[in-house]
Amino acid sequence: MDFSLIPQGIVSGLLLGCIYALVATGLTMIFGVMRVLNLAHGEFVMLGMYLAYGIVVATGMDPYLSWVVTIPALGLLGAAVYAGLVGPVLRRGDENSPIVLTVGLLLVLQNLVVFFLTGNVRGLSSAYQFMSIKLAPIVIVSVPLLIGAIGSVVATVLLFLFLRRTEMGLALRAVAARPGSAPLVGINVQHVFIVAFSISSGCAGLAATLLVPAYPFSPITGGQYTLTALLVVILGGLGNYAGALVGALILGVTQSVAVLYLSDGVASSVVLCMVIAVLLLRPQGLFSTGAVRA
Amino acid sequence: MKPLWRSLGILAALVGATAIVGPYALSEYQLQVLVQMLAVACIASAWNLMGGFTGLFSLGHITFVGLGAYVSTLLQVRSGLSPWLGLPLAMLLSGALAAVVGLVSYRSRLSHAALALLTMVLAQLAFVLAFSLDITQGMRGISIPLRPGLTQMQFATGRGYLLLALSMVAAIVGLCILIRHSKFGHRLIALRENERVAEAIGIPTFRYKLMVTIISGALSAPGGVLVAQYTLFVDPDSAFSIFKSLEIPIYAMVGGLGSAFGPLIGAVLMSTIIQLLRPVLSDFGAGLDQVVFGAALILVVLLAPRGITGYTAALLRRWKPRHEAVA
Amino acid sequence: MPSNNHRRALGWRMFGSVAAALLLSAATAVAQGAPEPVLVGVNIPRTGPLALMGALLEPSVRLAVDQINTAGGIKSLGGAPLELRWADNQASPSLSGSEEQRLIQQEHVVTVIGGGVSGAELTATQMAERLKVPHLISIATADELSERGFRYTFILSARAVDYARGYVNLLNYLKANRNIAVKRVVVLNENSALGSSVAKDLLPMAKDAGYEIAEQVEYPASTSDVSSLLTRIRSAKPDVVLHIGYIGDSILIWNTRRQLGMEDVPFIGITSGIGSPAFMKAVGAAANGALTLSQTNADLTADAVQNFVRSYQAKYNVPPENNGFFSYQSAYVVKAALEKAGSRDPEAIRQAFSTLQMRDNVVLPQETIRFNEAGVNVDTPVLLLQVRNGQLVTVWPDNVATTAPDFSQFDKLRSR
Repeated sequence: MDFSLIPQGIVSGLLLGCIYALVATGLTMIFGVMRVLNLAHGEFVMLGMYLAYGIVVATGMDPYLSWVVTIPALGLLGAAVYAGLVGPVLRRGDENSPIVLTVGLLLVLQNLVVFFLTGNVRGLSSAYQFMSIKLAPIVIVSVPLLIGAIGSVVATVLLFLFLRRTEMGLALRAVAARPGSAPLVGINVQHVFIVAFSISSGCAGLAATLLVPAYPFSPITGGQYTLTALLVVILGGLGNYAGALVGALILGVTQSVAVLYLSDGVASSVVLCMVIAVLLLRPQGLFSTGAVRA
Repeated sequence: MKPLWRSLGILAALVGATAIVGPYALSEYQLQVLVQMLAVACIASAWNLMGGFTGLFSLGHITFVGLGAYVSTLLQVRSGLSPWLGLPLAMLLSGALAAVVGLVSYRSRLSHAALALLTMVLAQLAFVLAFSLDITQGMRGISIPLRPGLTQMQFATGRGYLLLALSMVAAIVGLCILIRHSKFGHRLIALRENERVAEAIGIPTFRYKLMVTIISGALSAPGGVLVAQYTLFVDPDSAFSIFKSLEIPIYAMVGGLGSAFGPLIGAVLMSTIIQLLRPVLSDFGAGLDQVVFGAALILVVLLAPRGITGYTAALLRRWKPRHEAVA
Repeated sequence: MPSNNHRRALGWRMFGSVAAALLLSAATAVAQGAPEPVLVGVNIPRTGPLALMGALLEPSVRLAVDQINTAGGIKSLGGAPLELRWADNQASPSLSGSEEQRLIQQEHVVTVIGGGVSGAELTATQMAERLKVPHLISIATADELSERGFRYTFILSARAVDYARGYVNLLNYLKANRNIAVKRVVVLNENSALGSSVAKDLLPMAKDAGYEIAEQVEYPASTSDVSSLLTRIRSAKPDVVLHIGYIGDSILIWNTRRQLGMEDVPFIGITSGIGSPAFMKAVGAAANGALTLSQTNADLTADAVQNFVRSYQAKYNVPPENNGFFSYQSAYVVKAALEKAGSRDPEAIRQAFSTLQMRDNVVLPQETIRFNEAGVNVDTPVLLLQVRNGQLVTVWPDNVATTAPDFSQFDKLRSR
């Protein structure tokens, strides 16, 4: 076994993990705040990639600047989805139906793209896609991956600051921690929910901008990100943001290193067993300090 | 008449009428579509025992279905064992897997969300194992040789498959009705409503949850075997697709969670919608039929949250008071 | 006594009735003269995980049918036009079987064109066999498709075993004719039916031919990152990597190859979308020199090919790809079979397929399209294509090549 490959695997895995964290943060926020598992989350990323691609091809702008469009556009879409679909269902006290709603949304979004834009795979040609930096003789870092990781970390830090330092952030955490009591202290829960959904889909939009310069996409790209985000969220704890970051890093590194030596099937099985073990032994996630909530 | 006998009577009438009239009224293709609907209804009904009656939402229920399909198919193709014998074995294995899942989950006192996620990850693991292991021939799948004959559980005409499917529906939905109207069933519902209170009044919640999980898992296998027998093909995607797994609760929800007939109604309704949409929308372009199906799903959730049975029950409730007022 | 007005009214009424009767009989005559369309089913993955295959199959079939109908339809059936009925199997085997049944029993198609995903084709052809209607697979790889003794299945494209043989033949050719001695080979395949069936045939064939398989690396086509995969491949120090994948992963691999400085290891793809318009757009100049095995190419000089490429480009603004060639060809093969059968009876059409010797409208690089007893298009070749200055050109075998190959990426393997 050639151990010299491990540093490369770890570095790539960490960087990839950062991007996974950004996607997972959106998922864990919606779950933490309103107990809804948004299975259409990956579809927002996919839509963001199509949007970013379209804008870059039309205007020739630097792909990494497309966040100016993708974040607000996806944020608005998220707000609309909440206002029109998820909100009405939650307001009548229905906790189980929203997930069915998100499956319906998944079908609609994915197949609208197939219908209008075909199922063909697209990839952007950008100045960044071939760039790399040599950190060490045996560690080469892909620049798009590095930029993606940095962008994700910056966004995550901003999000943490938002949650800790702003009034709305506090309201979000309050609703997540004590959904019953939050209205009693004057928090408008509906506003909080809309904000949470918008931030979540905004994160998806940013992730799309960070991915599009070097990663190809098609209508089905969303599904794999939803699955990865779910695994991360389980590792980190549902609703736990720091946990999502660390869980994503663990997932990224485990995947990257496992693929170096094991077949894909075994590597995936290892990752999945790890996640199942966490679910059974520490259902609140590896990093939660709080108690499990049903 | 007691509700139990009324429900069983309705089931018997439906099954009997379909068995007699079906082969004459429906074309070969329509029979095949009906068989598929009934397979889905079997699977959704099995799921409903856990999800609808007891509130244990399993989002990865396809694991038990796919396991059933692979077990009976592998035994058939590799050892020549008739699927009639393979079916009970498949149920046994699926039930055993469900027992393991239940044991570890309920011992750890997993939350509902955690259980839902655990089952989903399990389904994904099953998918990975199915394409990695040599015995399952990976993604190339396993083809069942075409050999129509009762002993092979293969039929030359749709009528044969229809009778097979109807027998499964009769057994599985019948069992659901029995459970629904039994003390066991009432206690499951009490458990669903509030587990702590149920425990406080003496219901052995751990044992009941485990039992319903095992039954639900075991009863999921026949649906998988039926699909394998009329498709004559099993591969990781058709057996363990996460997407199919997510569809299962949908059929139950559309029909009505707490009702034994719910999944059957939901499966028939949603499948009919798809069947009507497909030929019409196919010519317009790719994907349109699925957009409409997704939209229909969203509409059902928005407008009929308690499913069809809940909706009709609500309608009936609205009519009754008028009569009482008059009296 | 009838007034003048009355008489005039009667007169108009009589005139009206006679005119109506004349018009009616004329219309009926015209209607009877226009022949009923021949219904042809198309069963492909239009949505779902392999929608990219369907997206490349669909446009060509539509184009071909438009052309066929404009040129007068099926002459032996009185100029009857072809009419397509669509089915989306979503790459799901169970859905594929039932969609096949719907096409045949509800839509009453007389032949089905399929292709795109092996699993879906397995069940679709099974249904076609049960219902005794010919099913023409445009493109699918599973060897099993032609090994079941079916009479109603016909397959145009190469199968996994042909691709595997193509690779080995190419390596042998490099050694024998170009003094390029490949010894260590890595097989990199995506893990669905496509990649695993080709790899399964390729590994023993390559070993028997004397090549050393340093590693076989499988990966999911939907992977979001390939840096670990490529790192692993590099450490195996192969002379060449044989890559079976889809276009999305190919783009990713090409990007990462350059990032990791691995361009000194030659990759030879197959079915991997290398050189396709989306690939060129995404990878740009880094694609120069890329090699891929394929079965068709837009640069082949045959008139039929150039006409097809021109009309496809005019309608869709991009050149056709391999899948497109096969689905286009499928439509014309169906036309040829119908012409030969002179009948809408599926049995007669099946007979026509099995005895077909088609020389017109052949866009595949072969002279005659014919099917053997197993329903296989035996003369279908495997070609080597190369990306040269933004163009995808045919470089091997020598008798079909339009451009001399540039094997400079193999220089370090020469005269060892």
